[in-house]
Amino acid sequence: MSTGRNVWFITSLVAVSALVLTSALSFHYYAQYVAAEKRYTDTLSSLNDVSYKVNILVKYSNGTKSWYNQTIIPIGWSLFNATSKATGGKVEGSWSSFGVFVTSINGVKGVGPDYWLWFTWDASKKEWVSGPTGADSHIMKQGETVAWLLTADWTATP
Amino acid sequence: MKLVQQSSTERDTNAKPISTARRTALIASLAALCIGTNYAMLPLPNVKLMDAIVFTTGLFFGVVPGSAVAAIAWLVYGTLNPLGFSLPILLTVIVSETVYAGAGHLVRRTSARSDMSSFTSLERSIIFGAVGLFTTLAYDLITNAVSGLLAYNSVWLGLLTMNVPIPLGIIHEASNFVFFATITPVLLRLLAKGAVPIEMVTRVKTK
Repeated sequence: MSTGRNVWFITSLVAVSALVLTSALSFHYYAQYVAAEKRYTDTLSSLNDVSYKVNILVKYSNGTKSWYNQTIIPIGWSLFNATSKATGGKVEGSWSSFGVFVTSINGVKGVGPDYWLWFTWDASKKEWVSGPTGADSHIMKQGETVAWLLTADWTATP
Repeated sequence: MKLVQQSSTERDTNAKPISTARRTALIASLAALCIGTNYAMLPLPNVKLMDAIVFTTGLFFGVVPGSAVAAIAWLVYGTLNPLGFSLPILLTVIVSETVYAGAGHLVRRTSARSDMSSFTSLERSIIFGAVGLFTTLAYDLITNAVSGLLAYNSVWLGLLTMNVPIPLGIIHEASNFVFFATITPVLLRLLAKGAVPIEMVTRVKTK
């Protein structure tokens, strides 16, 4: 066997060996990925049994809107808790015997005639319905869409 | 020059054939080396020198002595094993281990037929390494298929566990590539020395 042919023969051997090892490694990582994906799906499925997904809109007086869609909250949480989770705890309020009155969301306070009001979306009527209770008394439902509106107009909707 | 540079059983050699006693002693020593290194390397899963030793035995002495080393080593290591004992698995690994002896024998025959004098030491090591990798792949496929059949009643599940969740097959194949490339040439040189009859060594020394 000539030296030139030797080089090709040895290079081919090394290449095929590397191919075998990398193929096996690829299969190993693919299997790891499939297993991880299954674990994620299972965890998500378990999570769905004990949690709700809700959508929260925060609309400021200048018309800016911030949507917090598909926010996962434990079953039984109030609107106040859900808003606090969605905004990373940036919700302030004052408590009284009537419940909580939200004074600030995302650092934007209700000053002067502006107040933070909340609404829930009525899917059957396709309209926003003003919240009848304090935010801490309203227990969120699965898939519910709620909105916070900073306004001086008590008849306005988001 | 051949891949196996000195063997008393080669047809074209003029060396005096080694005695049966010396041959038996060398094979027994190789089997002992397999067993000893297997226990020493127990904490390293699927990293064993045994495969390279069995291959070298097949390469130097032929398929039957190579298979004998494989069988002896597995009979001891497979029976007195802290990881457990299973007769069907033991029989499978004994039979599968002879793949290395067979590969050694094939390389020996190929080497005897072809002109391989142009290969350098490094190239020979790479050839041994590649043969080690492919035979290990064959060994792993056979043993995992049988294990899968025995444990899960499924060949495919057995093959799947070869590299999942722990890449034991890859560890086995990669380590054997390295061992076949490094241990086999060294062992061949040692065997070549050990296979020379004492009277010949004495004669050389006294000259």
